[in-house]
Amino acid sequence: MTARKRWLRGAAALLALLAVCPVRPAAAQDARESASLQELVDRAEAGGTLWIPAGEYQGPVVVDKPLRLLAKVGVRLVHGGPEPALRITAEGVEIRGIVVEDTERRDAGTILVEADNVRLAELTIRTASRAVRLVGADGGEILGNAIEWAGGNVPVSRRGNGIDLYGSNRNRIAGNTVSGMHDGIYVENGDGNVVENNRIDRSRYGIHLMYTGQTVVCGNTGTQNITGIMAMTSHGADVTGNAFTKQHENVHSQGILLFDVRDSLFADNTVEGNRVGFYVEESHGNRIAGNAIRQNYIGVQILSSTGNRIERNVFAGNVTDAEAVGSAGNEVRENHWDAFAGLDADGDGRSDLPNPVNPFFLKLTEAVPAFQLFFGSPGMAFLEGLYASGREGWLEDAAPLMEPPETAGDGPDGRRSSDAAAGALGLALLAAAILNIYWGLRRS
Amino acid sequence: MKKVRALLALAAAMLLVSACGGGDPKPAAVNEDTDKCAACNMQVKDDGFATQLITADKRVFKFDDIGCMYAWKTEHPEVEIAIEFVRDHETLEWVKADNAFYAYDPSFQTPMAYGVVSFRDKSSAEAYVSGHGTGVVMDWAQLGNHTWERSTQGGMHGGDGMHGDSGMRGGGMHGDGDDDAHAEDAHMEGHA
Repeated sequence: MTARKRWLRGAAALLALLAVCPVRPAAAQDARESASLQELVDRAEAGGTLWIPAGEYQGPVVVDKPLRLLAKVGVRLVHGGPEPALRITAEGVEIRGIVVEDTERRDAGTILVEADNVRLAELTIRTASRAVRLVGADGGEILGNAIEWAGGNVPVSRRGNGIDLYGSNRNRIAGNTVSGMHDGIYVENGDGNVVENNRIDRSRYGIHLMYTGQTVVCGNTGTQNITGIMAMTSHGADVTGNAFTKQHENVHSQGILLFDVRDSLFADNTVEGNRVGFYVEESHGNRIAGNAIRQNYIGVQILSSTGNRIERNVFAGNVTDAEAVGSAGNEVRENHWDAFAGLDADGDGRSDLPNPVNPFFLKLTEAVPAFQLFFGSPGMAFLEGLYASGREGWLEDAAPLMEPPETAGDGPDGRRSSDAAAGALGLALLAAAILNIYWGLRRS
Repeated sequence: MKKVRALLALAAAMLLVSACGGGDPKPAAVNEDTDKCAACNMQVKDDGFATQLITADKRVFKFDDIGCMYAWKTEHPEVEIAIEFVRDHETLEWVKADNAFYAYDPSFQTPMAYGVVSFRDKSSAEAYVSGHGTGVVMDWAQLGNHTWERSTQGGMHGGDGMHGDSGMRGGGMHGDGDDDAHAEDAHMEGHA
């Protein structure tokens, strides 16, 4: 026993000795913790990597040389005051894993990036301002950050944007979550930015494009914003595979809005349970295809827009599928409208009767907005039936699909793999049943 | 006593009648929850850039940028307009558009980037222009000849680049209330 005790003591001493070895760095760390983050940054060599010791730091911090600032857990940057909590003015900076808490309302934002090729990853930002602002910053990456409003109970119109790009090009914004902000992701005056797989809830506009070119917006999701995607005065956008549901709290809520958008693609998106699914105004030369437009009060609303191709969308369970004014000259075909009773005499899967969109309600409510009270009323349907003047100027689906196209919501073409699996399962069950019966008979 | 009452009633009736008879329509308040720009569909903020027009048949149209109001008027030439209001950028009071003065420069940041900012009098418009070191001052007639263009290209406006759709105004932020407050405002409230 004593031998063992001695052995244990020796082991403990050895352990203690081992523990002492890292004591020096640990002590240094302690010293560092009392040091400001700015001092750590200033001391670090350009081009180096700095693991920030756990602890709470005060802002503001300016990073003016290329540096990787990394944190595992428990690094908090707490800030209030006129300067941004974190300002990045040097190319190639990476910041990862920090929790930033900012209590001040200011225009410059909580994190201000003014340099190219900056990466912000896995940050948690609780802000009373704009969370991340890129100004004239190209080629950056904003990945997997969590952004939420911490400025108290003010209307979303008085809050700051989540991720805000101005005059910034070719940035990638992916996998972020934004909650309760003004615009979740706002892009102004920038080309070639990619916004993908982000989630935005309870903000004003989920994704807001303004004066942009060639923006890619794909795989984003969101609920309960005033508008899911607000695309304004933009061209060459590629908006695919996004899902925006339940934008209905505000009287002007919609899933996806296009205003003055040209030559862009809006495909395979899901807009469900919104006040208006797609709102399209003064937009030309776009392709709106393969979208699932479900359970909205109004599926699509199209005003003063021409030269768009609207095809192979599925309209299901909307109170009103479509309303359109001043939008002849669009190529509309092969959509599936569940409320439309088509007639397919030649069996090609397309109705021989077109599906015209009656502009009566929109025209009426434009003149007297209060008549919106009659939305969906039987009397309105009756009056619409009487109104057929100028029909050549209506938007209409020339060849509506009798059945939903396979593409909507599923893989790119026809057959689903699950069909074969279901078949095999059925066969197996049948075989089991036959065997059971066979054995049952034999026993008796 | 009866006479006095009758007189009072008469006076009240006359007041009522005279109130009904004339005067300009009053500007409507902006409700940020429900008002959207009649031209561009964006939310109208209750700020210095909001404008509105009231038609002869008493319909009110609100805009987030005076440029949107002009765009709307161009698209609706048939509508008879009774009155147009703009905001004084400093005090936010509604001013009849034809009495107001306007500062313009492509670098001025406004919600839809038209770059026109409205003021109650010429001197405050001039102060805004001199504060920014650039721009011109126009009256209503001159504004009628203005070519409305959105400043969508040209990258960074202004010196500090603070610009954009922030929604960060009021609420006791720093930078309020100093001499340059309106200039600051423009940057904070720009392009919505």
